[in-house]
Amino acid sequence: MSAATTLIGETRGPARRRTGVIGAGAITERIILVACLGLLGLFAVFALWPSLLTWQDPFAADRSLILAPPSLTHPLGTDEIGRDVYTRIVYGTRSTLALGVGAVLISLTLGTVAGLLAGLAPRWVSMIVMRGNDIGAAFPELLLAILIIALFGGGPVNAAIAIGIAGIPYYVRVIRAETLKIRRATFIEAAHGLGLSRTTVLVRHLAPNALRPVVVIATLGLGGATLAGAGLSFLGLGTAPPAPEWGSMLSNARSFLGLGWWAAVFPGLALTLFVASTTIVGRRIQKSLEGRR
Amino acid sequence: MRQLSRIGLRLLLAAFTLLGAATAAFFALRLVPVDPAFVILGAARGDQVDISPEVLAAVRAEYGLNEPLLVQYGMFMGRLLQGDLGMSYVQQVPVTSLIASQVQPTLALAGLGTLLALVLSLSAAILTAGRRLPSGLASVLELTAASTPVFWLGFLLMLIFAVQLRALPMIDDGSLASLILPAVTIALPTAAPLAQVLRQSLEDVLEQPFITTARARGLSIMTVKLRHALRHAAIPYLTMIGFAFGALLGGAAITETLFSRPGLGRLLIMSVSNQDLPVVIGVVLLSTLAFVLVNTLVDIVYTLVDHRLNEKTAATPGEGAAASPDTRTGTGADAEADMRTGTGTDAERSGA
Amino acid sequence: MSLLSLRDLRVSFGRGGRETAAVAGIGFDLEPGRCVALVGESGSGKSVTARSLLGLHGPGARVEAGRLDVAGQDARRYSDRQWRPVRGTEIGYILQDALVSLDPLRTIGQELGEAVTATTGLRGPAVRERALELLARARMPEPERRLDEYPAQLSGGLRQRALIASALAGDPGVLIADEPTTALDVSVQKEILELFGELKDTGLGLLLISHDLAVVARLADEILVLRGGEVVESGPAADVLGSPQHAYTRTLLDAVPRFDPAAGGRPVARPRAATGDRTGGDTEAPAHVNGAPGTARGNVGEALPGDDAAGIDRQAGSAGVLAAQVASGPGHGEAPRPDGATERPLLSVEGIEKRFGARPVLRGVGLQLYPGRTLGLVGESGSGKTTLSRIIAGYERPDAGSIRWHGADGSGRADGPGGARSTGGARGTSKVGGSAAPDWQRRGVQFVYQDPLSSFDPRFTIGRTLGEALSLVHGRRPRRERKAEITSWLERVGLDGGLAGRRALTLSGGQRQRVAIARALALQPRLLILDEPVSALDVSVQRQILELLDELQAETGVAYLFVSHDLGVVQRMSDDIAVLRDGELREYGPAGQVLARPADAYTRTLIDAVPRLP
Repeated sequence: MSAATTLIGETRGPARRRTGVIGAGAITERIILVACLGLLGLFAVFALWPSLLTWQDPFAADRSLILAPPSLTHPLGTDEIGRDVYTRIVYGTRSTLALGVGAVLISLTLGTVAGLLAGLAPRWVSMIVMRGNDIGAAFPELLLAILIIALFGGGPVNAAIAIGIAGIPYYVRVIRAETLKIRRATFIEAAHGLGLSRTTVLVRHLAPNALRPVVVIATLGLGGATLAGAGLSFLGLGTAPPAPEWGSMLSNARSFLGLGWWAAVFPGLALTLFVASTTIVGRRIQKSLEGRR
Repeated sequence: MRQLSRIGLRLLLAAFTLLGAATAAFFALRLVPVDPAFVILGAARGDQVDISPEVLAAVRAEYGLNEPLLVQYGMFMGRLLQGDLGMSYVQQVPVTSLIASQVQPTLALAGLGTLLALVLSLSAAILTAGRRLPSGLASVLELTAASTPVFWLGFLLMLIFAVQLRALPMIDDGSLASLILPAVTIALPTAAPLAQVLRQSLEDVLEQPFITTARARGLSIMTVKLRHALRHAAIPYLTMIGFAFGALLGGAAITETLFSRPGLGRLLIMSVSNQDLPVVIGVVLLSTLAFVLVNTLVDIVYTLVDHRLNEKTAATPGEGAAASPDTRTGTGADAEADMRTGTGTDAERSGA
Repeated sequence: MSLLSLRDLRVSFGRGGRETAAVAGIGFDLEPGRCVALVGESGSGKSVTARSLLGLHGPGARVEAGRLDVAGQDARRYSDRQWRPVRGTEIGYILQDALVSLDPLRTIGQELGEAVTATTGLRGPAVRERALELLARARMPEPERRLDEYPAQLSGGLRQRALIASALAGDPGVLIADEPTTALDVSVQKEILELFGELKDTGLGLLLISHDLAVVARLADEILVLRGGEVVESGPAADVLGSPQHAYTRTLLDAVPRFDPAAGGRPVARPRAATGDRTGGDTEAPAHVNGAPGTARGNVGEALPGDDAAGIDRQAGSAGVLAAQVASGPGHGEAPRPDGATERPLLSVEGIEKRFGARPVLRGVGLQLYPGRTLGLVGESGSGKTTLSRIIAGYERPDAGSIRWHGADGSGRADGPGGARSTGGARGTSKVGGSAAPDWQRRGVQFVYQDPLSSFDPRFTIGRTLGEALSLVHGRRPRRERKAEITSWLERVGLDGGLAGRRALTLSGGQRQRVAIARALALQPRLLILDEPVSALDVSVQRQILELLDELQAETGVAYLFVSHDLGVVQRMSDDIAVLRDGELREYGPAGQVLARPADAYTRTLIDAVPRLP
């Protein structure tokens, strides 16, 4: 028949569009996801039961071991007054994450309610909510949080509230946009067409679909809120120094950077790993939700 | 015409938003459970200092604190419109002159940071979009950069370039070299989401049939990216610039503290701990002004990029485009034509 | 010398164990002035083949060929850099839909200019001159004006001409057209095919790709029928169309609703007898429409102990009862049935007016629907046929006119604000709740969309989707019964009961449309509106769905309003036909009369434009 077949070209890459979160192959993608879930689990253990994974006292200062480099007894070294960095990271997890989680819960609750309201209520209500939201969104987030702290005082609780409030406008926008999109969807029209009542359509079809992105934005938002919380603590506006918290640990280590890099590097690494893990897990959820549409 | 009325509308909306922000700031200030007179007299929150009632009354009169709230509001807004942000409680100088003395280093930092972020994100996205390995590598890097706290990134850069290599100064000495590390510190986390968004939308656009058409004319991939894809991908990128600029302003406050640089950020943090609320509000309102301006600009640029947005938004401002009769038609007649295309190539490609 | 010579093309996607072949051994020669056609349904590999001929195979593809000569040159080992001078200059490529195949942000002039500069190197004012020349060659009306217009400002046909012009920029010897007329109205389709004919006569080699044998029949000299990436039959067009050797080719030919105006309306009057290739034994369903077949037969009585009228109605809801209801109201309808019979209509629509903004969409349309009969509503895009069907369904309110149901006025105006059921969606439509719509419209009329997927809640499984509709008819019932009934409905529309646990996204287009039909009929409507129900489906699937609709109508006596742009399909389905153009009813009557002796000139144009098999 014809001459021997020649390979014309071979383009690398998956035949279908990249489905992964970071664009790696399916197997790498899965390994990374499992690693992230594992890390998040580890942080959860740190936060809930810190003494399980460390035997030292986060406040115990060993004057003979000031800024000691990583060793067997102090795997991540000691800080400027001789406290174990690893132990302080473990004990600091709770207060660091609490800031982020608290802030997300505040933004999420208020943002979802306002977003649904703006998407479903009569036009004038929607107008009021959205113009108010525009005003909130006009402030850069971190600066709004700082302003709120300036007015009402610092500390971990106020910091979480401040970040939570500053984050609301974004949630409102996302939920409202989603609600409007779903309202116009054909399947909502079809549901009315079947003869379902307005309430049934709202409760059974509209609201659940409009709220689907909530998990995603909350997971993705957790990273940002935690970063902001640690940032406030770094500035001395969140959790105050003797208590272990990653942001304030970094702030302390700032003056001794040339003498002991470990005191600054490891708390920051923990924070980065946490934020990256939530982002990857969040995007994974996002992809799987999109896939079901 | 439409273009102009749309721009006018955006500006009006921006002005309204700013007024709203100022109003919110004023009333929040009055909600505070702290008597400004105490702060002015040097007593921070919680301190129990004996101050004679006469002195307090004098201070209150001087700052207009005895007037009814609405009058105070009117005075506040009136002065604000003239560019007067009031007196600092602590330093007894006008807030505007405090800001003026600190604005230059922050402008330099934010300006260079923005520039770096734009250059980095544009080149990273355009060079890697649609190429499997580079694209994957770049997105891993971006994910890392986006997850890194600004202050930690600053530490790492200091550690490497100032402590280990001794190539750049660690803290500010007024030289241009001392601006490099802080600028990179705020540019990297800003550039990361920008590049992510741009690459993602470029890759989405590159799958469109009109890209295939353009390539079937014999254009190279790079030409197609620059001439066709970039313009389509620009809208989400511009939107992200708006967001990112806000983050950059917040990041500037942290970066200035970290690198011990003078600037508005330092002034802000100092004023927060001093309870110097007029200064805090002044700095925050100024940043808000910049943020709103950038977002309004972004919004205006939209229509230069995509002429179709003009027609859509001019009719009904802000929202409610769904209600306009034009769009309603879309569900009827026009949709017929649009939907009938689902037969051929697309299904085939995904099936393959 | 052939312009294009291809042997044993193989394209596969994926790698390792999951490699799938998209194209397996396609080959042909294309001579100047000839037309080769690749015909196949989706997944047949026809578009992949076209792209491989330009070196534009997508990511993850592995392409091999025994021979690939372009203009006498072996192009098999070309790099992208080497392909570039071939693209546009040797081979012009036209993608399916011009709306998405031209950059929407650039004017026609910019797009053409780019094509001209890329293929000829011309710059400056010469580019514009050449662009005008190209538009003239593509028979574009008012070419000067078009240069400054954006693709979205042009109609489908003009867009396609602009795209053809841009493909001709480099004077290629070969033109590949991938589904060039699929998105177009028939009359425009005819013009575009004529344009291709002219180009072919000037010596261009044409590679035509289509799913539609009838479209290809006019132009092709040689036809390759593809299935699953393989050539099942090839040869001179006359042989392939006239005496197909392969069973699949015959299936494809049979599946094309053979449009023959002389044959009049619906060929099979009432296909009560099973038509053969249907799966599932659902044709004997009338006896146990709502109960589960077999097992449920005894249960129906137990589960529904009430002997009240409602109970009886529930148990039957099929041909018998509906027929009885129809018979009970035979009186004289106001308007005579188009074929002169004096049956009372189920629903009559009179003087419907509707405008969107300033644009009138419907101008005084009136028609009647009769139980057990199908009215085919034909029109090109923008004719208002979808709007009319949405008004009848109650999704939109007419500005004027009335809709009568068994003589009761169901017009939005006469009934006050209750005329439209709320879509609950976009502002500006009625805000009235679903419950305020007249009862006949809520239950009596159901709607099937062109894209069924979008009409299902994405969170719901198929079973839950059907269950929701069933619960509206039967109220809350024990789980087991509900499941049995869902299974029975799935089987009735020829689906496996096991699909109940799946999500619509995982079903094929045909399966989704079956589910949509089942959901609509589960509500026991008297009228089912079908808006382009098969136009997104492959012809063979199309045919199965049409047969299913026939059977279900015979079983239940439901009336159909069948909305379509495709006269072939409409002829296959309709007892009566209404032709709509620019919101006006141009022709309305029994199908046979409308098709064989059209009174209106526009109807004649439409009929003439339908591509036909020889």
